[in-house]
Amino acid sequence: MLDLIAAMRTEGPRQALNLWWQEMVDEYDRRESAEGILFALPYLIAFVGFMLFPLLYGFYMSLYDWDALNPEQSEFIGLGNYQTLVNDPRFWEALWNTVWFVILTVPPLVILALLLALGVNRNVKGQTLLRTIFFSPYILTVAVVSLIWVELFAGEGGFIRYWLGFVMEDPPRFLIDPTWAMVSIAVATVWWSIAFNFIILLAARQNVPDRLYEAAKLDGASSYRMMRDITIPQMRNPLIFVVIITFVGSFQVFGQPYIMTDGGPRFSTHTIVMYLYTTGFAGRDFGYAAAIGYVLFLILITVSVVNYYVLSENE
Amino acid sequence: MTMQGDSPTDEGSSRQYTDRPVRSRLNNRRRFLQGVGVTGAVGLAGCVGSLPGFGDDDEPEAGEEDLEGGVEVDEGDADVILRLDSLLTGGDGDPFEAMVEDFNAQSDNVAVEVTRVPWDEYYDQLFTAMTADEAPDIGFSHSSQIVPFLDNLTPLDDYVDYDPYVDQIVDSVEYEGQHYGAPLDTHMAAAYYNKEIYEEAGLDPEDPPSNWEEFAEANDAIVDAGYYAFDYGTGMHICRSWGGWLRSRGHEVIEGEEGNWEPNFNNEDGVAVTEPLREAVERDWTPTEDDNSWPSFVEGDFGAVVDGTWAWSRFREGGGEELDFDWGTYDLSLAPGKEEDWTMCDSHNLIVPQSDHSEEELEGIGEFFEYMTQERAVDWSAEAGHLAATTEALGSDELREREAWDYSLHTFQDIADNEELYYWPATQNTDEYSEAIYQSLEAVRYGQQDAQEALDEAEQRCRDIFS
Amino acid sequence: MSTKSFLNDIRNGETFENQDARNLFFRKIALYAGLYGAALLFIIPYLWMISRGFQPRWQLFAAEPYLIPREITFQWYSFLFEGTPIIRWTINTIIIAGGATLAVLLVDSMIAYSLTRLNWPGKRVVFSVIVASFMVPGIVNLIPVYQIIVELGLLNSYLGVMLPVIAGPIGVFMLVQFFKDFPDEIEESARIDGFSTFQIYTRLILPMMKSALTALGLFIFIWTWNAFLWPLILLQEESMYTLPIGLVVLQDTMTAQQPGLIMASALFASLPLFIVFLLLQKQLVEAVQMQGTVG
Repeated sequence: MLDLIAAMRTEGPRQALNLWWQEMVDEYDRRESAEGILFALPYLIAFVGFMLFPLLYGFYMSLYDWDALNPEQSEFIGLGNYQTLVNDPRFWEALWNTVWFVILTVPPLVILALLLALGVNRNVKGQTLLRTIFFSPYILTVAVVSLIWVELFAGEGGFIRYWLGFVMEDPPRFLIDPTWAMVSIAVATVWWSIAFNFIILLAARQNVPDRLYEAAKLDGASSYRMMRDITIPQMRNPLIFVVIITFVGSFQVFGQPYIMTDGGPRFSTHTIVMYLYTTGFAGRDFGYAAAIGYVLFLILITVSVVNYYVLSENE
Repeated sequence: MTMQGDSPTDEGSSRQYTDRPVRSRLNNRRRFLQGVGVTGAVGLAGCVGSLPGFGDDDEPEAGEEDLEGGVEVDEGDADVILRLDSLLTGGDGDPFEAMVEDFNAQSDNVAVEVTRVPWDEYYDQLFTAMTADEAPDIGFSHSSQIVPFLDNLTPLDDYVDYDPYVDQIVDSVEYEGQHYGAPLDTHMAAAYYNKEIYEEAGLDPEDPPSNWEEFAEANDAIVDAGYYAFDYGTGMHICRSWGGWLRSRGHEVIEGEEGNWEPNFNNEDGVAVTEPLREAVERDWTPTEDDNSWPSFVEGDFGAVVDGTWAWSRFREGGGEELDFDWGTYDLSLAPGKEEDWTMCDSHNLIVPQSDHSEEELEGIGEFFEYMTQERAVDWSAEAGHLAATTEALGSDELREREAWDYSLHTFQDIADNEELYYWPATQNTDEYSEAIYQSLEAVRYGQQDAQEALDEAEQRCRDIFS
Repeated sequence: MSTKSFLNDIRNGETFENQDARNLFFRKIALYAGLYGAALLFIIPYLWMISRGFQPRWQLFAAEPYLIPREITFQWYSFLFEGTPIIRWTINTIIIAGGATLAVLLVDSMIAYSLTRLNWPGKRVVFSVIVASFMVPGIVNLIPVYQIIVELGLLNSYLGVMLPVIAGPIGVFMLVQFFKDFPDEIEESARIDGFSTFQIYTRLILPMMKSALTALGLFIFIWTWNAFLWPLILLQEESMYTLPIGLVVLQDTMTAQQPGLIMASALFASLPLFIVFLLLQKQLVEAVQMQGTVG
């Protein structure tokens, strides 16, 4: 493409286009190209229609005071929605709640998954059984997970509160206490989502060549040193992947608070995606909701990039 | 397989509630979120048939068609076929649909088809259907929920005669001189109380409390008799007593008009009506969490709970949750230091969420609306339990002869007669500001904030929402 | 070395003679305690779900929770099947998840084949754009995709729920990794034998890449089966709901909590995937691990 533009400068557009076309004809078999494009087309239509175009369309919508019932009456307001967003305390509250959720879930989801993966990888009895158990929540839907944990966290007579009652006075009222509600949702989330990380890290650990450890053992290295010098560095790429994926997933939490607490108590579990959803479909403000989506997009890109650089340079 | 009723242990189970701390669970979820006077609290009894465990413990009676309810119409039955999405399920959904079928039978050229939509999703779905131009010909709207739809509703003044309705009720659907809905009823919350417990506590079951002092005295007596006495509920239910109480002390919850609403509850009167929420827990009238209050009331182990007019349709014979004790209702206007009597209410209105109907269709709609809301007002009231919206029905002997009258309707009739109807202010975002308020009120009930802190926070949130 | 042999060692008075052995022993104990302790915690929610669905009302509402039912009742299940449209929701979910899976497998394998085995102008750019779209979180497109679906008249339709799934890039990327490794010689000899491009795709690539396709198919099936937010927005009628939506609506439309019914519905909704999980665990593990290698 760049060649073409350069050629246009020197040779003039017409000539350049001719040359470019000639090159194409020389380089590509016409029939094969046609077949190639034909095979790619079905996916590309879906991809453009439901991925690329919406991405642009969403930005376009975010520049309007969008009237969902009469789109033609929407009013162009430029960056107005973004301006409102910056001054919207409810947005900041939802953002903070989400960040809190991320803080509560990402470390356990990564560290526990790593520990479980390393543990199961040891030569323990019942390896398959353990793997099955830790992996199984992966197949549950968020609806089931949330409904089960609402039951477990229930008030008097609820399972967790009941047993905690034996070790402490007045156990927290998990889902109706603003301090504990998000923690409870995080616990349910860790139980549910650790499966994915666990399986990926398990595979990663199995890919570390045994000879590295054997060599280290000969040198008399402690297991802590082996972990630090062999296991972790060898698993770096999968770990980075897991960290980024977990961050991105946690930032988009919706189903658990929607079902378990509906954003309460006192909005302490009202997350950013819930805010997007309510703004769009209960508040009927599509333009604003699209703007929230875009801001979330920017946040996620930033977080991912920062994660990537911090983790890969930390040699 | 052991069915519930067969088990020896089950026999005394219902009585266990009073001896042991009752299990109560979180339930401030969407149950009451969707706005004031949501009839959907009708519950599973309505939505999915009668549920095992309430009332009769023997056989689960699964109502097979209940969730699939609705009215079907064959193409060719009538010249004009109208599609109606109903948020009424179960308890009041059945009588509604029976009336629609009567209408279809007696009308020559108009037939109405009813589809049930879960009330919980109703307004979101009405909105999404409208964005897709797939709105039904006829929809439902509570008076409190109508504002966001106004631009896309058809004004009904040319097709519906508005004279027969009670003024206060009709005012709730009037905007800029035009009427956008045909009111089916008005419904409010009341205290549903167990007369047997009243007797046991040494109270006169036929003379329920009518002011704060009597109310407090009665509740204390019930607690002394070994029962929980009264539950304000959580979620939107809290607002049902609280909102009326605030009004009784001279404040509307918010003031102003669209685009310029101001919260009006963070003041001395607001605090005075908020503190009782905690007091109820401290005086043992109410368990801290509410979840088991309602089932224990049904089981006969709870003094009184707040519920809407719709409770009748469940408690009556065949409603699925028949109470096997004598019960009654009393007006919730019990605010400490009240200056006037006010009770919070709302209405079901039939609306037309599209603008592209032919004149013939509109006339059919008008005919249907008048039939449902005027001609059948007495039946609707007596079967579904809501209070009729027409003056004639309200004054009729016919209504007084129906069974529902003695249980609940007379209470509601008094409220309407005294013009105590307080409509929760309808705004562009009624759900959002209501939620901001009740989440704070819940915090008071749970003892997490004192009344003043809670109102400060709620006020700030309301301002954020309205700005 | 197993715990048992350690125990024998202790009995024989042979252990702990040196520091290392003692450390090793305690470490082993800690490892087992940690792993099996965690496993126990992990299955409690399952036990709770299963057990509560079979408990009669008096146990569900008792002040102390019963993890083990004192008596068993099937009333919640019989109510679930007779009084709710759960069967209908299951059928809907199967249609949507099955349809989306087939569509993704077809469309993704076609483009992956095209990207790896065929040469055409612009394919590098196309592939880079697809890979870059990994960075787009689904939620960003929620509102615009909704608007597009509405414009297409697909609100409240199976197709509307499926289409955005098909646009996802992960399958393309996964399959490209596998198709790349397809031996050139086989393809060349097939061409010499007169196979057309289409025949190579259907007769060689698809059968030989079965394990990759199975893994992807499993992943998409589970993903769509469990999807929550998108079907919640798009599906309008009770008779159209998928299981996850139906479950939540069931819970919400009840006046009072019915834990027995809810847990019964949760168990029923999870059962199909659980069976798939037990039967195809190996492939499923592969499916997840493939995503790990993608990253």
